[in-house]
Amino acid sequence: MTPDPTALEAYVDVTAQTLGLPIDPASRALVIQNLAGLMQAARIVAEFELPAALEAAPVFRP
Amino acid sequence: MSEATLDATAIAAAVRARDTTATAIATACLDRIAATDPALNCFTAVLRDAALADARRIDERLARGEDPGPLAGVPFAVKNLYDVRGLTTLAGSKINAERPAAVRDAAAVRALRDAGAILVGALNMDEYAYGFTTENTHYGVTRNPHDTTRTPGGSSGGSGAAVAAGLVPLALGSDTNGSIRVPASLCGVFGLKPTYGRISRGGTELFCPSLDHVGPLARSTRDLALAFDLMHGHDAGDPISIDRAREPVLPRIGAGIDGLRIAAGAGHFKRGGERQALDDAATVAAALGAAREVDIPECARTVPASSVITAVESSALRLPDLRRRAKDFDPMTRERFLAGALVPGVAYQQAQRFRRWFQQRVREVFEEVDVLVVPATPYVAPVIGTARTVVDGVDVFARGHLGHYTRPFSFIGVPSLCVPVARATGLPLGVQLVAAPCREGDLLRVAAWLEARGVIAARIPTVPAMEAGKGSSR
Repeated sequence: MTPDPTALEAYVDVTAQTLGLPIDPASRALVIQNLAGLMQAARIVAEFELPAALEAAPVFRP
Repeated sequence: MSEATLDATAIAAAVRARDTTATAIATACLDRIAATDPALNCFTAVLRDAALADARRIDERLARGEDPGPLAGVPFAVKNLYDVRGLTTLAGSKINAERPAAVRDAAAVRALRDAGAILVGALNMDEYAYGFTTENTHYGVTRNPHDTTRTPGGSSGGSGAAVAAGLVPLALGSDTNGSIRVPASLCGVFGLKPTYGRISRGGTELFCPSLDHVGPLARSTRDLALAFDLMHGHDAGDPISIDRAREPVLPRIGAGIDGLRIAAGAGHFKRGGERQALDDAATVAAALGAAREVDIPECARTVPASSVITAVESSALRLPDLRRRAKDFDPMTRERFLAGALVPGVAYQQAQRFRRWFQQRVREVFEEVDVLVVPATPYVAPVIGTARTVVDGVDVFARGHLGHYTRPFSFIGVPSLCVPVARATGLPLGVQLVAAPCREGDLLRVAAWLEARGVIAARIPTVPAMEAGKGSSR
């Protein structure tokens, strides 16, 4: 599911404000575009169902 | 003797045999850098006086009958995210330029210097290593010595270009998603991303800690093996350093490939690349007599998963500066870092959980295979500034897609070696050899076998290619 672009814009504004992360108006559109790409990447990862017992180790070991 | 074409092993042999001097080698190297680097912009700092002083000390030790080490008098340079005593560690950024100079060398730099190598300078990179093309707004674009209108790859682009151009025989880079292997492929040199934690990152500026590796680039297999032998091993200065006995690989690189189970990658590794990249991998696999093909499940999903992890971890590291002075970031990275700070935690954790799942699948593959042969990059070096390209019928981001074949292996920390396919003309392209954790020795054995048969070889570009770009490097 692709989120409503307006919702993503609102998310960026609210989350950035909550984190105390000022976003210059000149950067805002590009930040939203980049976050849209990352959320799309996250969706592709999330579509793959993982066993509930599978853990991510706190320190990565190959 | 032309030092520009000799590898590190040959230079050290000549210096130790007193056929030449470390001072003569260093002087010639520094003169080449002065003549050629304006066209390429590999270096952000050249340590002329310090290098010549170090070279004189090597010559004095030899005159006293001492052994300065296996890299006696070999010039080398490092990506500018390595600490170098007396130099500010830029990591490609303007922000870090305000920091004081490093008070000691990074562990890997120290290891090479202790073996007699001469550090001649620091090399350009994408800001904070966030890129595959070394298009750095603060310090200029680095150019590919094979065609100066093209990128050398990145983020260790200064390292790849400096080795390819014959400016240094050995350089250090770092690799989070492909940043050693991509420039090695596009510049036609050898690049080793070791097992995660095998070479200390102590004294380097981290980018994305759970994915960051450091390693060497060189023009021969034996140089990579020697550098690996000198640098690997446990270091308490790196919290993820593997506590395992050192295993020298150089003595075994001539052992041949008998007994090694070699396979070609299928699935993901046969999609998303230009014909030449796929054909090169097939050529190398065939030369090795690869008996089978392996399709690692869900390989393609490592690309978005590693993107999410990279964005979140790197933004967390930069958060104080993003809050205070985002305007001082490179426009090539700024909005990417800002966006990474806003990714929900569940997305990151899911990517980390997928990582564990994928690691288990690859472990199963390496129970049946010793070395996997796959493409290194999907295409030859793009023209600088190329934003999008169509490959395999799909419109992609030209820069980001360079990591299409490298990401799956840095994602799970297995060693991967990029080797340059031998060709007399045209732009270079590499092939990746991949093995199970801590099996760097198998990769170097295979590379040495291929190199001895002329299947792979580093090629130093002709001077006219460099002359063409003179004066247009920044």
